[in-house]
Amino acid sequence: MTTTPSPLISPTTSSSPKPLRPRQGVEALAKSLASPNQPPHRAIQNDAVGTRAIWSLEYYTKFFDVDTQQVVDRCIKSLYPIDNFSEVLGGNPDLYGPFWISKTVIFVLFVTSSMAGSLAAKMGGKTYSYDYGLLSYAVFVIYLYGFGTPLLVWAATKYYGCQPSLLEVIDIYGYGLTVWIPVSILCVIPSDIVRWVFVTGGSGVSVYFLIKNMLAILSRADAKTSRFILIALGVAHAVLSLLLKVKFYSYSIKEETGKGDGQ
Amino acid sequence: MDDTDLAGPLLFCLLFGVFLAFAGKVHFGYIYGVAVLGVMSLFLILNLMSEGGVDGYRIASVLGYCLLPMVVLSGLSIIFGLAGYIGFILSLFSILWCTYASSGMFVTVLGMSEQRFLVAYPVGLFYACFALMTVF
Repeated sequence: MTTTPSPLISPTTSSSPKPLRPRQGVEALAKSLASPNQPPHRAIQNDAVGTRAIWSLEYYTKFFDVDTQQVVDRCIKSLYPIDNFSEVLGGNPDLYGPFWISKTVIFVLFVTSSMAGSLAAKMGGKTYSYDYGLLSYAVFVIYLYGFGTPLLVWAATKYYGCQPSLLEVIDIYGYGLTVWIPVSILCVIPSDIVRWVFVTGGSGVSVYFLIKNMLAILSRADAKTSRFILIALGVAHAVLSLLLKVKFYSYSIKEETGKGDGQ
Repeated sequence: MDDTDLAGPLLFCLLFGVFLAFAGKVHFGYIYGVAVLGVMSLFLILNLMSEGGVDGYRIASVLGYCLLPMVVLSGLSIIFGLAGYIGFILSLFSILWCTYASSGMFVTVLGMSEQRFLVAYPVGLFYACFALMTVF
């Protein structure tokens, strides 16, 4: 239970002591008796914590205040986007999810792509060498999409007066990347049509999740702007899906030439 | 976790490096680099996610002591090579054992009981780097 500090009993921060009215004094006494463990000035200090310096670690602790069940819940809700994601976030957007999901997606992309490549090379009877350039490419693309795009979207919507919350936009994009983990694992299957099916399916789920949740923010702008931004979001997502498909999921058995890798 | 004893962890890291050297891989620099980077990043994560803070020496101490299954794995890699399925299963088992132990300790002491898996994931990646060094 929280106690609000009475203006009287604030020894260090109030500039001039206010005269004590009888009722105020009784209230102050009652409050200080009710929570004997918390000295009155602590509440004021706790209020001041909200304005911690942006370069101290404590400022960022409020972005990591999630537990396992919440993170898992948010990931599953992004794969099955029926609920409104703002309700799922519950006013507590976190940075843990986007950060670790993007790292995992990069890792899974690289590993499954290498596996598919070596599988294709084995079935074609050729040797395969790991292409670490793919890893750098994955890092660049996923971090750009997972953190750069939300920043751009947030700036644009802020300019048009939608009052977005940066953390919520980062969360929508970050958790929206979850779908690429199962898609990557399934795309090891060495059939191009199957891969196209999986990529299209995953991309569809992800773009539905994205647009459904961005609509809530975008509806606060006027209709023409919000439609334009929505189309831009959709195009960006389509570009990402095509890039991932072409660069990572395109291994096929080539018998004619010695190329067993890449497009 | 009350005392920040670093003698054990340093001994385990040295033993790990020596066993790897016996198996033909000289990776002392990698061990040092991964250990320092891992402790730094775990310092960030644990301080961001827990109520109270924790200092780097305690993290290094816990991570170092929980490296013991990995040291056993590298000892085994001298006797028989870890390529193939049996090596994969053994390394997976060692990673899981190390991660289970260290995440349990972190979570108990810092009072983060609901966030065990969130802590275990980075710690697991840390130990997976050591396992990769042992196997490849």
